[in-house]
Amino acid sequence: MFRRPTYRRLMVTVFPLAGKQENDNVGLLIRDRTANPGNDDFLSNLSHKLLNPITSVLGYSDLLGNATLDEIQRGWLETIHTNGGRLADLAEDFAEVTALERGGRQGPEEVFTLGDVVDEVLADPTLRTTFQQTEVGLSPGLPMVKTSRTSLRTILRSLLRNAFNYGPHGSAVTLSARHDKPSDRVVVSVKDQGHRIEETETSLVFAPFFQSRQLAGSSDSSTSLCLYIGKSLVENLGEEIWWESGSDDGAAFHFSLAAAP
Amino acid sequence: MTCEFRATILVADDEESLLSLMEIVITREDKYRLLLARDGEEALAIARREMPQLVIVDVSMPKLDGFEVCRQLKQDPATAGIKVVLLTGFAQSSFQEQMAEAGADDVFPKPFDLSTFREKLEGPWLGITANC
Repeated sequence: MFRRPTYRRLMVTVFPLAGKQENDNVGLLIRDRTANPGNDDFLSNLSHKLLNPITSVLGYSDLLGNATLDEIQRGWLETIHTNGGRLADLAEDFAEVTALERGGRQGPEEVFTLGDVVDEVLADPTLRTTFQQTEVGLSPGLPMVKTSRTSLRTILRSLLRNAFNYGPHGSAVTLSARHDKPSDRVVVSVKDQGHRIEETETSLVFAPFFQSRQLAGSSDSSTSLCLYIGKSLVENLGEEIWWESGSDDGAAFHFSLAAAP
Repeated sequence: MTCEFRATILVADDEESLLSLMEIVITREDKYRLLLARDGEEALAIARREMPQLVIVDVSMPKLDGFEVCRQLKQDPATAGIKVVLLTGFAQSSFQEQMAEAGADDVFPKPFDLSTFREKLEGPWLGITANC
């Protein structure tokens, strides 16, 4: 017999709570927001605070995966785990978009090797995918780039997360870069083998929560802010981002970076 | 047979469910001696007293944040050799510079999967195996 779950009503206190530590409860965050309506740290902090319970949901469901479960129970557990991951993605997107709307956190312009940042991004355990292979192909003799390392990391991470979201299990995601000599730009590309994007969707691809019509009605209902974040950051750098999707499955997203003189 | 602990690990986080999760994962195979702290001041006091080989400390904590715990441990010659891993919900790469400034040996972003955590623990963070 199933017991109907009981839900606790969330009471949000808008005043300081005696004996509570600063930065330790939503009530204080709400209070800060009330006192300083322009303080967008509230939204950023809130999205980060979400990551603690999400980590618990994912961690304990991971532990339960080692228990003896029947097929139906294992399916339920998989649903919990998948949706915990989606919540984590949304919290991250939310934090990035909040930062963007606040003017971004671009960081200083530096001269560095693209490959170093690619390695850093791919080594991040939160970007790991067990469903796709990542192939990296940087052209030999690629010049160093002159840009914000911080923004580049987030752009690459966003485009890769998008590719991992939409690429089918077992497919490859390719990250490549070449030097476009006429414009003296380094063009970075992330290509997936997911669904094709239709021409009619051109104006929507970089819009928040874009989901290709190819996915409409499918079991994959995930939407994302990844492309919106990537486009915004590339444009903040004064560079260009574009996409192509041919008759085959998949889409490629390209963006330019200034080559170091 | 008695088990000789090869490493002592201190985990500091103000989120009780995460501390419990870490306790289950770290003590599962009796490989390590585990100490727990629930705020930054407690973490610093335990680290100075017990001299663990590894401190895993959440960035956002009451009393002293993880950055400050790390800075103080790294600035004191007596504790500078303790490996410090910052655990953070601030997964965005823009925080990496700040973490490097604090002198952290590594950063581990939340949320994480347990197999990656174990790989890190037994690989780059401690790189040792239990003697039991």
